Amino acid sequence: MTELYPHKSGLGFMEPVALIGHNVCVLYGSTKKYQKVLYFEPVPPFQCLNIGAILAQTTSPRTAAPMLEVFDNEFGQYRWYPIDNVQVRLWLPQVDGRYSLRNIQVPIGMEILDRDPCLHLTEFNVWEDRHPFFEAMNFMDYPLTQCRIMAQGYRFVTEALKASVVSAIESGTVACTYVVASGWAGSTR
Amino acid sequence: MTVGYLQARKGVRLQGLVVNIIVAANAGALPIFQQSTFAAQVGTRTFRIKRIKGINLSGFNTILNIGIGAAGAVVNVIPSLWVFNNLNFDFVEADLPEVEVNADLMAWAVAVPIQVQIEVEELG
Repeated sequence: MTELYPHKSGLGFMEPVALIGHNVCVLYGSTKKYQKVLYFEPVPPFQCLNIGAILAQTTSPRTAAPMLEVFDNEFGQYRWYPIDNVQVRLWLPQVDGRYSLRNIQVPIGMEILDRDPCLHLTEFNVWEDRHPFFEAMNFMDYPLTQCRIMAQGYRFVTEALKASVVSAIESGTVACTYVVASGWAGSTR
Repeated sequence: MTVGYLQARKGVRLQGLVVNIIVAANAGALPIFQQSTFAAQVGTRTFRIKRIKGINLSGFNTILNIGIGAAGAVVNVIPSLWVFNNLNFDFVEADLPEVEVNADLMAWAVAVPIQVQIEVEELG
């Protein structure tokens, strides 16, 4: 099963989506940013957001996570999990839900650490300052005093590719890794 | 890693509040852990009892009952527990049957007061 996980990762811990010198195309909404990776570094697990107290059987507002922003011409590749007993939905940008199926937007809870220990299926990317939003549901009959989100991953420093290289990528003669950095609303036609 | 049955069934460890049982009757049963039943949640939640900690301050050795149902009609989900006067009791995972609970968990005692707190593993 693990060989079916996406994002160039096999069994085991997280891997960078691209290496130094690789071409990437960061997709944000309908825009494409063709970039070349100049440098990357790991981001160890850290508490990227604390939504705060949530009453019993209540859903929090969509809360911005600016701690996951990176500098201009950079993107972040992240995996994440909550450490409080909630179901969390990810929005990127604020109006586009991630992990969306036709009838449900799949939430992530604390169980993810047992079911997908390396968090492969939580992965998302952030382009520059287009940070994600987290919406947490306290489904319990008990209030929560905090709702904390942990994130980990990589930061990639890039530069724009020349038009000739972009043309070669689009014609299929030069390799490129596509990096999705926003949600997709979907269509029922 | 192979996702086996036990791993797929692993839940989230939670604790109930400290509950003081003060009425010595089935009708005095109080919830010691409330099932998560929020209409908006994704999936159905159940839980398994992993630890029962408390103290018997009733002045008598007595029986503590753990079950489900409305106060007055609580039906045990595990055998009654004998708890000694003026002592702590602490039933842990190895002492408890692997019962899965799909309703609010209630406790009542034959003599009171008894203070109880529970740890559960919530699944869903």
